[in-house]
Amino acid sequence: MSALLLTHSIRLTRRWVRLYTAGLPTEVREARRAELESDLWEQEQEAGAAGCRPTTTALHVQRRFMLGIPADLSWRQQQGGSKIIRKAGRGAIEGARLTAAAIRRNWALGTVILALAGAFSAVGLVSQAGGAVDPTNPKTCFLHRTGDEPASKRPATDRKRGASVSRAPKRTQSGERQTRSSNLRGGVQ
Amino acid sequence: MIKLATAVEEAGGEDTRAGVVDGRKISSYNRSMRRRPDTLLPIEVSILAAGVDLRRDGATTFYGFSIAKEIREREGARRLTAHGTLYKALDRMKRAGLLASCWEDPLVAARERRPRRRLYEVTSAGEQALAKAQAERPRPTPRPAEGLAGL
Repeated sequence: MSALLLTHSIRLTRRWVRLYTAGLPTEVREARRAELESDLWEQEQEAGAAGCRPTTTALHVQRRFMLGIPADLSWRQQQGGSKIIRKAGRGAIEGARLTAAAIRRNWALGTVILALAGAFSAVGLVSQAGGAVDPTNPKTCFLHRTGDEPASKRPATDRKRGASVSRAPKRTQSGERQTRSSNLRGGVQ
Repeated sequence: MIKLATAVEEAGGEDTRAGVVDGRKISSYNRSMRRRPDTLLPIEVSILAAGVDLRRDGATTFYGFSIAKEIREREGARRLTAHGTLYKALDRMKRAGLLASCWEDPLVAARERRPRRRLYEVTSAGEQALAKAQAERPRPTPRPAEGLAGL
């Protein structure tokens, strides 16, 4: 059960990253997703090696995810993108500000608002990200996405921006993903 | 330790009580707030200091999770820095030239059966900015009780 909670926490964080990076240029989007994927993996491994209970690790992952949301949205706004996402980002930032104010004034009320917001966010994320994300399944995990899946299975933003097989990250012979950007090939920027 | 009150002070705020967070004075919450140029935010100071410490210990580069862990240990915090806060700061610092980054060789990651890491290192500009920030940091004033105890 506790391992399941950890799996779900990591999955939720992945979906959140997928959501707020949707619509960005491939290079930026893949870089942020890969960086978060590495972070989640490292945290899980480190906690396992330290003998932490999966429930504790899950709570830590959730906390890092939740507390980072305002910064994620702010970063997303700075990156530009669609008008709707920018508006949603501004709304969410304003919501976070009001929630923080409510928590300061009335702890109990603030907690209720936060819990409701979390529940709605979770439902929204799950419905928007769409489909189960299984890191071992190349068809569903963004890290392993090859671009050869049918267009209907790809995120709407990719389809809208005309993403095609040619835009997908190439793979080396060893099966590792390799982006087109020169700065992702090992050279210091 | 990161004192949010420091950021409030830097932003010209009135409320300087330690630990008091004013949402109006946090850039992520308030679009109208702008930081002073050539100043480092507390998270940036922490990242640079942790990066310099890691290099001193023999690690020439660091990656996101390692720096979060180092910050936690250095500052005696119980928890790791939030994802959004950490990666937004790293991105901003890279753009500002305080950090340089590259992606790890995919073969190394594949050999160790883990996702590829983005490796960062503190640039000379980053070191200079850190030295300046540490020199400008106000010294903690002794509490009245401590002052009386010394009499």
